[in-house]
Amino acid sequence: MTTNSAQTSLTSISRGLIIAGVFLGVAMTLKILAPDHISPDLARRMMGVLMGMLVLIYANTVPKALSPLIQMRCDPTEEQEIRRFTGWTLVLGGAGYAAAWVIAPMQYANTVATILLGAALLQVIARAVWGMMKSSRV
Amino acid sequence: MTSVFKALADPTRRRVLQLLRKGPMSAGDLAEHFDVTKPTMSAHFAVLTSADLIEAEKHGRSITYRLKMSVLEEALLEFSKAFGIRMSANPQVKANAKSKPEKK
Repeated sequence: MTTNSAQTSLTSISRGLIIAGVFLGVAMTLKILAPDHISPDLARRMMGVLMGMLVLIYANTVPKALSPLIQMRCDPTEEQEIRRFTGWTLVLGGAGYAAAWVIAPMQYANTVATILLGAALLQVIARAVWGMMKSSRV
Repeated sequence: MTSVFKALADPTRRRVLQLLRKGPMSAGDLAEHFDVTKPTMSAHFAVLTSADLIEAEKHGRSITYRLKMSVLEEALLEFSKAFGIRMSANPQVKANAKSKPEKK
C-alpha cells in the first residue's frame, strides 16, 4: 500500500468513525431527552431527519469511490453512468426522506419518507440491472 | 474545499469535467478539444487531480482520466457554470479577460 493510498484510507476510516459517533451521540441524546424534555414526536422526526442525512452523506460520495480500470469487468463508461445515477438518485432520496420527516404530518411522515427513499432505491436497482443487461449484449 | 473552488473557477477545467462526464478519456483525446499547449493542459489536469475531481491512470504510455466528483461537487460545477456565464456578460470582466490572453 502506498503512503498516499494509506493516507486516503485512514482519512475515510476516521471520517466514517466521526460520522458514526455523531449519529450515535445524537440518537442517545434524543433517547435521554424524550419524553421529559422534548416530545416523542419531535424525537422521532429528528431521528428521521438524521437517517435521511446519513443516506445523503454516503450517497454523495458514491461517484467518488472508483475502482481501478484494470480490475473492471464491465464497460467503464457504463460503470461511471451507473455510479453517477446512484449518487444523484440516493442523494435526492435521502433529502426527500429527511424533508418528509420535517414537513409531513406525523401520522404520514414515516410512510411518505419510506416511499420516497424506496422509490429511489428501486430506480437505482432498475438502472443497475438495465446497465448489466446492456453490457452483456455488447 | 478551496482547491475544488479553485479548480471549478476556470472554464477550461470545467469543460474537461464536462467531457469526462461522458466517460473516461485519454489525455490526448481530451487535449484535442482545446486550443492550448500540452504543458498548459497538463497544468489544468494537475489542478483537477489535486482537487480530487479527476483520477489519472497510466496504461503503458497513455494516461486515462476519469471523473471523480461527488454529487455536491457536480452541483457546484453546474452552479459555477451558471455563475461563469453571468461573469462573462459583465463588460468590465470581458475587458479584463481580453487584456490577459491565455499564453499559447
